[in-house]
Formats: sequence, structure tokens, C-alpha cells
Amino acid sequence: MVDLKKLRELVKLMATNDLTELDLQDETERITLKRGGPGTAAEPVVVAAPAPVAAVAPAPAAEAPAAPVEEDDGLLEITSPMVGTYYASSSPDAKPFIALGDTINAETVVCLVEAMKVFNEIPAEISGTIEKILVESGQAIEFGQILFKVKPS
Amino acid sequence: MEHLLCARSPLTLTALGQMLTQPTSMILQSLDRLRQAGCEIEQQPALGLQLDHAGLGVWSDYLQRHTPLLEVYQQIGSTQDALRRLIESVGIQADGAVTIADIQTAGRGRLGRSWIAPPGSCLLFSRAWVGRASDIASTINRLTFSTAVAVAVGIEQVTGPNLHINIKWPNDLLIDGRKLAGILVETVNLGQGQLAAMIGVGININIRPEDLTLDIPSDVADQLTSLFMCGQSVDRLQVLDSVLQQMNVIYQATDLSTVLDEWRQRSQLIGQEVRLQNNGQLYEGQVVDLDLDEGLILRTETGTLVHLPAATTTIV
Repeated sequence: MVDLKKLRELVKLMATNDLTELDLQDETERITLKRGGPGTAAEPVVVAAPAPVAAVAPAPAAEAPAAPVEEDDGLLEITSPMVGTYYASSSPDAKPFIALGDTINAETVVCLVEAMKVFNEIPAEISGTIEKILVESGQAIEFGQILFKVKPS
Repeated sequence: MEHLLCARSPLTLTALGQMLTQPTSMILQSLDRLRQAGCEIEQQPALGLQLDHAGLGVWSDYLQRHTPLLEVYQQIGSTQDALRRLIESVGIQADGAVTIADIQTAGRGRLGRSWIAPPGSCLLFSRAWVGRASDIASTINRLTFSTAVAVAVGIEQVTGPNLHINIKWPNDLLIDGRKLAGILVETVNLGQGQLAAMIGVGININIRPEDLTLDIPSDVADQLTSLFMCGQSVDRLQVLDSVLQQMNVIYQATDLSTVLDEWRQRSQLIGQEVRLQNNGQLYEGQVVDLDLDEGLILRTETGTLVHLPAATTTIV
């Protein structure tokens, strides 16, 4: 059976480098780890080793998405700085932080993202007008996921 | 004041005089000042002096050693909102600032749920933490674990080892499965790469069984406990002093392994059979471990190990 500590380190390594799949093998065992893309959880699977084969080197780390990025449509994007749950307002019966057409500046709070029961106010970090809202309150979101599109001022 | 607060049994005037190396007349004057500040001090000829209740008037003086930024309110909407205003006015200087309320009229739990507390029965406060905004996910993980441990250890330092406080992942403190304290953390971005967290803590100190029959729904009352109900008669000020002390130490620690070990020992989760939800998917199994950075490791019924990020996982 695989050492738990080692397994944890591998999972951490995958998360740090944003790898989705890892396949390691030696004489006695083979470990296949799969980490979900947006919307799925990672599911490490440990299986018995077949005939020995050379270990597969992990793929190079993927670049973390940079925010904000200018796209062809000329709109800027506000992306999530973290994994968590998106909330449009501070409590279920409160007014949403922003609505379509709102003018925002770098310090405008655009939403809350909750993780581990910690509620984080997310600032826009850019100025402009809200053109598109791409997420719904209560939705699980990923690191780097586009939340809003903004027409630069 | 400190001597009276920490004393487990009544102190005679003579004993107090020896501790403070002051003449009796000066001590009597000090006692008068404490009484004026709202302290209830019982004086029995046979036994001596005993502090029944530390009045709010002495709180800010007594807690100055933790931070110069301290606001004590008799009644306020919520200590989180008061702290938010303080952070907005002083920015990064707010690190370590504390807001305290005797009574909260609009206390919050998660997502606008209200926090009910009979007047004077709970210790309600918020503490500011300021740090870098760049690695928000790891920061909040760290704050969640550290706060739960600081509050649990802080309380036990006052009550002694007879009490054992467990941590219910991620942010509740329990005694024998009943809720003793809750933690609510909110963050605001200060700009220029700085982040402020408002760490709100509510601890049930003096709630008595009879308080629970009044306005509180019975399903809530059944899951509640207080230090008083656990046989511990302590002053709120003493608990706050101890918890703030622990927070100051733990938030500054560079090596978190001790905190995580303490957390694991108190966790109700490791080894438990649980049902978890992550992004709409349901998982059942036994919790094998919890990692500070990456989350829960669950062994399902088929023996498969599943890794679930703490940030998006809830217990159902």
C-alpha cells in the first residue's frame, strides 16, 4: 500500500503545478492520480502494478491564468483569484454587489467568494462598465475562472 | 485587577497587599475605581475579596497589552461591522485591532444567518489580521485552522485540562458534540497587495440551561452548550485575554506543523465515516487525513482514496 504522506505530497505537487493526471510506476506498484478540471473533484486511484515499465515523467506545469486579459471583443475580464463558491450579494436577501451596466473602479467589490467558510470580498482591480455576468450566485468556481466581462472606460 | 480575575478562590486584603506590595489604603482606592468601572466585587469578612463580574469599563484598560486599537461596545449591531469601519479608517495599521460587544443586535453567522445570544452571556469579539493578498487560498486555510486552535487552546488555558474542546471542521468548537463557539471570517482587500481579515468569534460563556427555554428554537438549544453548563464559572474578560494571547502567538508562527498537529488531535473528522458534497457530487467514506494546503483525503467504501479540496467541500 502506498505511503499516505507520499501520496499527499504528490497531490500537492499536482495542485501546485496544475496537473490533471499523474502516472508513476516502479517494481511493486503503480499510482495513477487524476485531478479534476473545473467542476470535478480529483480522484486518486491506486492500482496494482503490471509488468515494470519506465516511470512517466510529470508534464510541465501549466501557466496559471493571468488576470485581467484583453480579448478580441475588446472586453476586460475579472477572474476569480481562488477556488470556492461565488455569491453575488453579502446575504441572500441583500442587493447584489454589482449589476449589468454598473460602472466600477479598481476598488469596487464585485462579489464574495467563500472557501472554508471564509467569506472573501473580491475587488474589481480594473475600471469600466459591467457588460456580462458569467456566473450565478451559489455556483462553485475555479481559480482563474472568468466571472465578469467589463467594457474598459 | 489581574490578581482578582485569575484568582480561583477569594483573596484577603492582606494577601492582595502582599502581592502588589501596596498599603491597604491604596488597594481600597483601587477597588473603588474598579467598582466604578462596573466591576462587581464581593467582600466577605471571613473569606476576603472575590470578583463576581468584570465590568466593561475595565476591559479596554486590561486588554491594552494586546493592541492599542481596541473598541468596547455595550451594544452594537455586529463586532464584524465595527471592525470593518476601523479597518477602512486606518488601513494596514489595523492589524491586531479588536472590537468587542456586550450585546450584539445584529450578530451574524454564515451568509446572513443570525447569531442569538442572551445579553452578557457570550463573549463576542472580532480581531483584525492583515497580510499579503497574493495567496488568498492558502491564507484563509491558515487562518481557519489557526483561529480554531487559538480559541480552543485559549479557553482551555483558563478552564484547565478537565475540559476538552473539539473542532468541527472547519469552524465550530464543540464540547461533547454540542456547540460552544463559532468562528466567522471575512476578508476585504485593502489594495496595494494587502488583505485584511475580520475574524469574528462568539463563545458561549455564561448561558444557563434556563436561558435556552426562552426564545431559542429547541433544535438549536439541544445543540448548544456553554462553559457554565460544563461546570466552569469563568469571567468573559479572562477568556478573551487568553484567546487574544493565543491568537497573537499562533498568527505569528512561521512553522504551522504544531498548529496542524493540535488541529488533528482536536478534529472530530479524522477516522469518521462522513458524507461529503463537492461540486454537486456526493462522496461517502472514512476521512483518512486533512492537509493544510490541499484538503480532505477520503477512503470510499470501495477502498479508493479521494482527494477533495477543502475550499469547495461541505459535510452533508
